Amino acid sequence: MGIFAANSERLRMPVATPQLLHLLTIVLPALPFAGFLALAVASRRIAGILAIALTGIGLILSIGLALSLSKQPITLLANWAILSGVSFPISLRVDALAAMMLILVHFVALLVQIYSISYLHDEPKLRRYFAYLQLFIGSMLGIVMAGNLLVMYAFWELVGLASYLLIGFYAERQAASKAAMKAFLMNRVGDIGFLLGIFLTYYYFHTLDFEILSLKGASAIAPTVLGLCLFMGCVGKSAQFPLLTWLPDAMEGPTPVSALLHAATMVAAGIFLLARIHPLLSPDALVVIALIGTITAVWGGYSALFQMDIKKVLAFSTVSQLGLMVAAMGTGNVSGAMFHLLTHAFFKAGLFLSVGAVIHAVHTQDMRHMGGLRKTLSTTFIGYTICSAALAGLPFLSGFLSKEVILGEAFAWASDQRSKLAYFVPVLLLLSSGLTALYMARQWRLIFFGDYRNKDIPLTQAHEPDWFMRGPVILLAIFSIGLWFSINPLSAHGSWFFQILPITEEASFWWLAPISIGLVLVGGWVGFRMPEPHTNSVFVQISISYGFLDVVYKYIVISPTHRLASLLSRADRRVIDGLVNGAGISTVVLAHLTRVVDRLGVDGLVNGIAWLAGRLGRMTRSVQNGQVQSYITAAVVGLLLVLWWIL
Amino acid sequence: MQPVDSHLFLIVGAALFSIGLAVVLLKRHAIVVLMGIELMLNAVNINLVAFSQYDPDRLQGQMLALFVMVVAAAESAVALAIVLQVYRHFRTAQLDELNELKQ
Repeated sequence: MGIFAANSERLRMPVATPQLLHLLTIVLPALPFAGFLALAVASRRIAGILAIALTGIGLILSIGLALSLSKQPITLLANWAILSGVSFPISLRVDALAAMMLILVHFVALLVQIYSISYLHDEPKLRRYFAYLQLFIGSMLGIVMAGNLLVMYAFWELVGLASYLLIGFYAERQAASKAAMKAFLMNRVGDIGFLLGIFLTYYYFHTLDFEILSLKGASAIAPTVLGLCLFMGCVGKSAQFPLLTWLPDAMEGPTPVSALLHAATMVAAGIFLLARIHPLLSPDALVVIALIGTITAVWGGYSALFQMDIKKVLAFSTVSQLGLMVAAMGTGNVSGAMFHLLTHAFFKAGLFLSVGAVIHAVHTQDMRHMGGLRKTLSTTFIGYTICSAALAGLPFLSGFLSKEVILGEAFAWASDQRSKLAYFVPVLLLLSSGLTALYMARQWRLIFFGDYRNKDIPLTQAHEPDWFMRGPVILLAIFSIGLWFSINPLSAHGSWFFQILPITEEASFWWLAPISIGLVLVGGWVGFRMPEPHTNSVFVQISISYGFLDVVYKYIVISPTHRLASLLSRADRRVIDGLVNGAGISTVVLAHLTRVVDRLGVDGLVNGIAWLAGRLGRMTRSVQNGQVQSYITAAVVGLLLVLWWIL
Repeated sequence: MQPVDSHLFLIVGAALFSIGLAVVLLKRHAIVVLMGIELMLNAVNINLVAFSQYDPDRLQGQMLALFVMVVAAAESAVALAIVLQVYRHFRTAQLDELNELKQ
C-alpha cells in the first residue's frame, strides 16, 4: 500500500467525506493482505487467532464505514500507470452496494475462520490454510472496493489464485489438485472474455471507471458484444451454464472453504461484477444473461437432485441459486439479485458449516452412509433445517423473501417483453425453486432421518462438534430468518435493504406467493417421501453427471485439444526436429567437406610453399659448398654469360 | 720485318688461358692451382705482346707484360706463403678438403 502513501497528496478528496473514511478504505483491504504476510511467519498456535482478529477488526471497521456512509460514495484515486499520456489509476470506491458486500464478506469469513479452528485443528498445514484464507478475503474485498474495471480485474485474478490454492489445499490428494486445476482453467476461459470486455469497454468509452461508465452507459447503449464479454467473466467465476462444472469439483477443498467460496467470496464476485456493469448491458445482452441464468438455475437444480455426495448437492444448489441471481440481473433486477446474494450467503454458509459438522461426525461424504443423525447431532440438525428451509424458500425465512422479489420482477419483466416466450424465464425459475425444495428435502431425509447406514463408524462414535463449530452454524441459521430483512414475512418490499438499494419498479403479484409456497411444499413433500430411484436409470445418470456436461467437454473440447496437441507434437518431432537435425547433419557434412578442402587445399598450399622453400634452400645450399673451385667455376660461367650477353 | 699473323699468337694465348683455367678449376692441390693461375697470366702476357706490334713506337703492351710478370712474381710469393700457412693450419693443401667457407 506504499503507493497510496506516496501519492496521498494527489488523492482526489471530495469535500463531503472526512479523511478518516478514506483511511478506512485503504486499511480494509490491506488488513487481510497484511494477515496473509504475517501468517507466513506467525506461529501455528496463534495462526487462527491472528486471522480471526484481523477479520474481526475488518468487520467492525466495515460496519463503521457502512454506518458513516453518506449518499455520496467514498472514492480514492491514485496514479498507477500513465501510458503515453493516458492514466490508468488505482481507484477504490465504497458505495452502499460495496459496503453491504464488505460486511457480508467479513461476517461470513469471520464465522468460517472461527469454525475452521475446530474443524482443522489437526491439520499440519494450518498456517498456510489461514494465510490462503486471508488472501482470499483480501482479494474479494479488492473486487468489492474496486473503483474501476482494471483494479477489479487484478483482484479478480487474485481471487482465482486464492481459490486455486484453497481448492487444492489437500494437494496430496490427486482429485483435489485436479479439481483446483479445473477450477482455475475454467475460470481462465471466463476471464479471457472478461479481459476482452475490458478492452472493448475502454475502446468504446475511453474509461474504465465505474462511476463514469454508469453515467455514459445510461446515455448511450453499449454494444451487446461488450456486455456479453464482460458477462463471460461472471459465467466463469459464478459457475454459469457452460462453465459450471468446476464448482462441484471444487468440493475437494476443505468444507469451511466451500462455505466461504459459495457464500461470500468466489461465486459472489461474478454477481457483484454484473451489478457493477449493469448500466453497460444492452437489452439483447440482458436477454442472453436472463436465459443463461435460467438454464443454469434449472440445470443446477436438476443436477443436485440425485447426487450422493453430501457436498455436491449443496454445490449444485449454489449453481442453481447463482443462476437465479444471474437471471434476476438479466431481468434488470439488480437489487433483487444482490438481496438474494445476501440472504443466500447466510443460509448457504450455514448449510456448508452444518454439513461440515456432519462430515466431522461420521467421516464420510456419502449420504448413503448417513441417516438418523437428528438425535445425535441435534444442534446441527436445527441449524441445517432452518438454513435448508430458507434455501428451499419456506415463508418466514430469508430465502423466501429474496426469491419472491426475483420471481416477481421476472414475471413483470416477462409481461413487458414483446414475445410471450419471455415467460419461459420466470416459469422455469419458479420450477427451479420447486426443485430446490425437492433436493433439499431429500438431503434432509438422507442425513437426518431413517436408519443409520454406516457400518464402519458406529453411531455412538458420532458426536456433536464443539462450540467453535456449533456457534457459527447457529448464528448463520439465526440470520436466515426473514425477520432480519423484512417485518412483513411474506414480502420483502419495504425492507431496509431496498431503502439502501432501491428497486426500479416494484412488482408484486398476489398469486405468486401462494403458488411458490405450494410448489415448495409439494417439492419438499415429494423429496421427503420419494424412494431412492435405481442409479442406473437415465434420469439419475443425467443428474449425477450434471447433464453429461463433463463428457460433452471431454469429446468436444478436451479430446480435440489432446488430439491437436499430439498432432502438434508429432509435427514438432517430424518437421521442426527434422529441420533442426537436418541442419545439424548438413553442418557436419559441410564440416567434413571443408576439412578435406582444408587439408588438401590450404594445408597443401602451405606445405607446398614450405616444401618449395626447402627444395630451394637445399638447391642453393649445394651451391654454397665451400669449394673454392666451384665458386670460381660459377664466376667463370657467370663472366662468360655476361660476355655473351654483352657481345 | 714482315709481322707474323697476330691471330696465331691469339690462338696460342687462348689455348694457354684455357689450359690454365682448366688447371685452376680441376686440380685439387693448391700449388697446382697457383700454377694454373700463372699459366693464365702468361696467356694474357702473350696477348699483350702480340698486340703491342700495332704500337711499335711506345710498346705499351710489352711494358705491361713486364709489369704483369713482376706482379705475378709478387702474387706467387704471397700466394705460396698463404698456401704454406694453410697447410700448417689444416694439415692439408687439397682444396676440396678446405671448405671452411661452408661452415
